Amino acid sequence: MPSIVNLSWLSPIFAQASERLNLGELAGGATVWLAVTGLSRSGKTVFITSLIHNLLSSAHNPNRMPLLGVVGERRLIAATVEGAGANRLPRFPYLSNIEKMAIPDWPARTADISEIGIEVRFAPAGTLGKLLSGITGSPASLTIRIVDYPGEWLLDLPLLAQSYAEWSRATLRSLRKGVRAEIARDFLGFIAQHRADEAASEEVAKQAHDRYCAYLLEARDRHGLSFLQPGRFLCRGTLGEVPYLWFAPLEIAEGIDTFASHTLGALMAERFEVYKREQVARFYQDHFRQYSRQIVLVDVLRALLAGRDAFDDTRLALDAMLESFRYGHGGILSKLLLGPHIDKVLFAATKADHVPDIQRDHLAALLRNMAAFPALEVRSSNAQLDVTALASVISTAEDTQEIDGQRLQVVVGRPVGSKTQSKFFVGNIPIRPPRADAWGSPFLNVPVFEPPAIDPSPVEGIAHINLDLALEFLLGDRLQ
Amino acid sequence: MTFGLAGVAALFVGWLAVDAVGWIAAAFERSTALGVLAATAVTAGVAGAGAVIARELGSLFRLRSVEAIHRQLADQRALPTDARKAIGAVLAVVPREREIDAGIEAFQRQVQLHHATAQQIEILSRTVMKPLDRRAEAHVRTAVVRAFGITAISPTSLTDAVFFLACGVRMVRAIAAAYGHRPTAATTIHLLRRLVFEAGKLGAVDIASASLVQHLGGAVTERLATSAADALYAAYRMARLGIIVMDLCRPIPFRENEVPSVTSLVGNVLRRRSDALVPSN
Repeated sequence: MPSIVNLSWLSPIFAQASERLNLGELAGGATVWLAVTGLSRSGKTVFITSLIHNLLSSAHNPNRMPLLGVVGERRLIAATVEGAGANRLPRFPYLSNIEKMAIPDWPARTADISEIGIEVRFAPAGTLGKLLSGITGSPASLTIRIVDYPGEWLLDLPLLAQSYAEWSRATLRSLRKGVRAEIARDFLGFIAQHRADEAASEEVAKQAHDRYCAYLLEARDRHGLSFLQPGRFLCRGTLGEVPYLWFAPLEIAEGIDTFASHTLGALMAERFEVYKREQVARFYQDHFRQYSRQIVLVDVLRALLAGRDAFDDTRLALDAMLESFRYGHGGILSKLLLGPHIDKVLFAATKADHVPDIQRDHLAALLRNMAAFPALEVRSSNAQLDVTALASVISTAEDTQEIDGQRLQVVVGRPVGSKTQSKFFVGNIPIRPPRADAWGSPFLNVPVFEPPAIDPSPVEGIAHINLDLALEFLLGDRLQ
Repeated sequence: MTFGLAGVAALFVGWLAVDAVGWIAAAFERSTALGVLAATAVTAGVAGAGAVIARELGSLFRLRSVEAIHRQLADQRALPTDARKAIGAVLAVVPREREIDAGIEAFQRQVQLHHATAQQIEILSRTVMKPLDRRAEAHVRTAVVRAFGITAISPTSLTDAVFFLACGVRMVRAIAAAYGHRPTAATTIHLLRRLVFEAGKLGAVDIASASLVQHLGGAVTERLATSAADALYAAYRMARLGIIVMDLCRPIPFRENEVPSVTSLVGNVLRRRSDALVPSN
């Protein structure tokens, strides 16, 4: 006899609910997705490497991470890197990174996406946790899942909300201001000779694309700019030279959003939409839906020293990047209906070891000022927020030097490739951005100090500043 | 007031000195050997009194300097360098035993130059203060059990009060010793004065809690002896006083989640009492 009530619609809902609530976690340990967010060269890869190495070492040497509650209270049993299993993404190269740092040298710039999971097993602190642990006979566990990707790709996320015409107009507006106008002169000159309504030409599109990429590279590498789209033009990963990448912004008048067929504008717009669909939307769907905690790494010092244009650019890039994340603090019903949201965000000013101890609070205060608007957005969604200065690896020591008759605090370290130590005086870090007339000349040669002697075996850990505090804020409640 | 007390002390010392000189002179008049003996006895007495006074003053001075450190570290605005110096002074006064030495070693390995004051205190709490707190809590539990037991069997309110006071003084001295203070008369009196002041601040709260406990005791008396309600209240008060004394003697202030809970300190007493009443057959 056929069923009176059709319940076939129920199982997909249960499947979706199970996925949203992570019901599978109840069976065997919890999982938390930690979003390690930051622009290019902000220190994401080194942060992840140092986090893994110090967690693995904590069982042998709890003195490295005393302010991470589970370690300081001696409840940590062990931390291990999860097996590769059948993951779709390449594995984060933790071992090769740590071996590189032992040379000593820094890991190569991140060129593609990768993923890693760290399983932390610990004795619970709370009564309920102890009871469950007693019943199951096994300690509590938490798996921290992290995805590493080139920071440039984050700037692609705002493209999802723009059409090709909107993006072109916005990009060319910014290209005509400040230092960008000088850098993009060749590209601007080229597109001035080619209209959006002219006949489509593969060669013209490719040349525009190549000139635009040259501008992006120079803007990033020689001028320290950050708000550069599309991100994959700077870092293709395994994408290679696919035709849908060969587009660039064109001069498009206000009010025009569509193009006649077989025009240059139509070709560019089609490629733009395919790029968004194939790369950006997929990247977002696959990797951004599950995050519940986030650390935003910002190289404030480099942005400050690179001058006003670079500093404002970093701030703009930060605002644009963070708009793509979902913040909020909700219970089971909220998770069921809306999916996971990020409920704790930590803004971290990286490379805090490049400034003396007495200036580190200024670094954090400056970041707090830079991130004021995104922070409002986070707080209004009821997520928790904090700001700190952090160094994933301490590569300097503090010293004093006499400069202009005054004894000042400096940091000293060995620049990569150099045989001798050198001192670095960063000056006074302001707690808010300098006034327009107070900016000095851009200084882009922030020294890259080589990492300290690191034991690749996870026994001693790596000296850091506030890495344990950062983890305690982000994950401390999940490690109770 | 201090000037008046100094005057009385000067009178007393002068009187004793004159008496002693007279006594030595009289002894010398009778014989030289007797005189030497008298002089030696007076010298020994003066030296002994001096040693006792020095010990008392030294321990009191040490306690007061630890209290000053406590106040300094309670101020969250203390600079990290000042906090480091203050913590160094704390480590100099805590008892030196194997467990504490291990804690000190762990602290020295964990604390780094970049740690702020609050972070240094957190690390110190977890490494050095934890074993000291455990010992102090053990003394509080002992006093709680004594207060419960003595009050339960004590025949009159006066004996209740006398035994409670004796128990309390003993607890104060034990907790002070646990944290590295010398439990001399001077330090004990100083701590008792501060305890009375701090406990008095809690007076209004105590009245309310006393009523609550007495009502609960009223319900429980259907099963237990009437005196058990008073005994439970005495145990509760002793536990409260113990926590205050711990805070007074502790070189660094308690952090929010570190204050021992009265329930856990008194809970043992209830368990023992219930076990004692269940018939064993």
